Amino acid sequence: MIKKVIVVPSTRFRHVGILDLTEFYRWLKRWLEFNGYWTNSNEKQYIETMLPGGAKKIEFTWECRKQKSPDFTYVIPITFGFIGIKDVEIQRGDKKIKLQRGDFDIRMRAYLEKTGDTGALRELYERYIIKKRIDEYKLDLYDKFYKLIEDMKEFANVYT
Amino acid sequence: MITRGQNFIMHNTGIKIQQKGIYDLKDLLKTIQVFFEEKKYTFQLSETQDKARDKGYELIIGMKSDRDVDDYVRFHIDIHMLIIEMEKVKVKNKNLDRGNMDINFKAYLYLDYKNRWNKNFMSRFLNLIYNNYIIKTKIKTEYERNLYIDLIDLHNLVKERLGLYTHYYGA
Repeated sequence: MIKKVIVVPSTRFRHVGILDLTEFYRWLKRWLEFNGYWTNSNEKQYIETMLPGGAKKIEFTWECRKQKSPDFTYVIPITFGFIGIKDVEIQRGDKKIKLQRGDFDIRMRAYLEKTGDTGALRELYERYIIKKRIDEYKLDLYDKFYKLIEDMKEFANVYT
Repeated sequence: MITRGQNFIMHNTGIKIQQKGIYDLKDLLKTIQVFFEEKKYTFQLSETQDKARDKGYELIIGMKSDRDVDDYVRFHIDIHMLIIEMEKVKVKNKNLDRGNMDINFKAYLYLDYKNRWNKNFMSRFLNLIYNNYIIKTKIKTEYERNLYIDLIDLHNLVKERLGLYTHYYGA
């Protein structure tokens, strides 16, 4: 039976302005790969819609997982909702580069997934024998989650 | 009447700080986080939004924190920051921020957060009696008071960081 232990509830990251979307997508995928959260089956859905006026709406969901031990898996589900995405050309030095302007909304959370037996014995085992290890997993996932948010903020060059 | 679930210790619009001027936002956010960690609260940065506007940036930052006091009561302090017309300024070689800041603090007790008294009508009724007759004094004089002290400490700390006038409560 699968049991979820919420480590970070839903957290929102929103950037309204300019972003290099293609590079962001690649960078985020690389970040997750590097940290062991990426498999090709991560992308659960991808919807791209053309809006009137030439803008695009892109929605996709990733379920990033990292198996920590046979019984515990770190899970970071990320939902992307990019609305009103339009290409803009920006002069950087003597080069013209194509970036995207729009509303970039990302919602993510983190939880620890427990698999295996359930029952009183298992509960005692988790409560008294491996409690410290579970707390370490929670802390590790919490740190990784906020590191990802900080790196995303740095990439998007947001104000804070 | 004290019911299970959310119980605001003040009006549910919370308390506010407004400031128009120069401040160090990164330092302020770090100070708030350290305050919660020292007081053994679980801290969560629930929301960060930034929008480029014609005049500066508009920023929304949401923070949530909670602490399990015992098996029945959990303290919650939520902070919502809205900053408009924000821009970076350099003062004495230091990078600071200028803008109109509005910070809203909300604090509430969450009773029966383990959901033990929500099994059926009878247990919910017994819980109502428990809250309003058996532990009412404890809720009012201990839990609400302690949460209020935490909230005011945080409020004062933020005001101090922003260089505003602080008022200390009690002795």
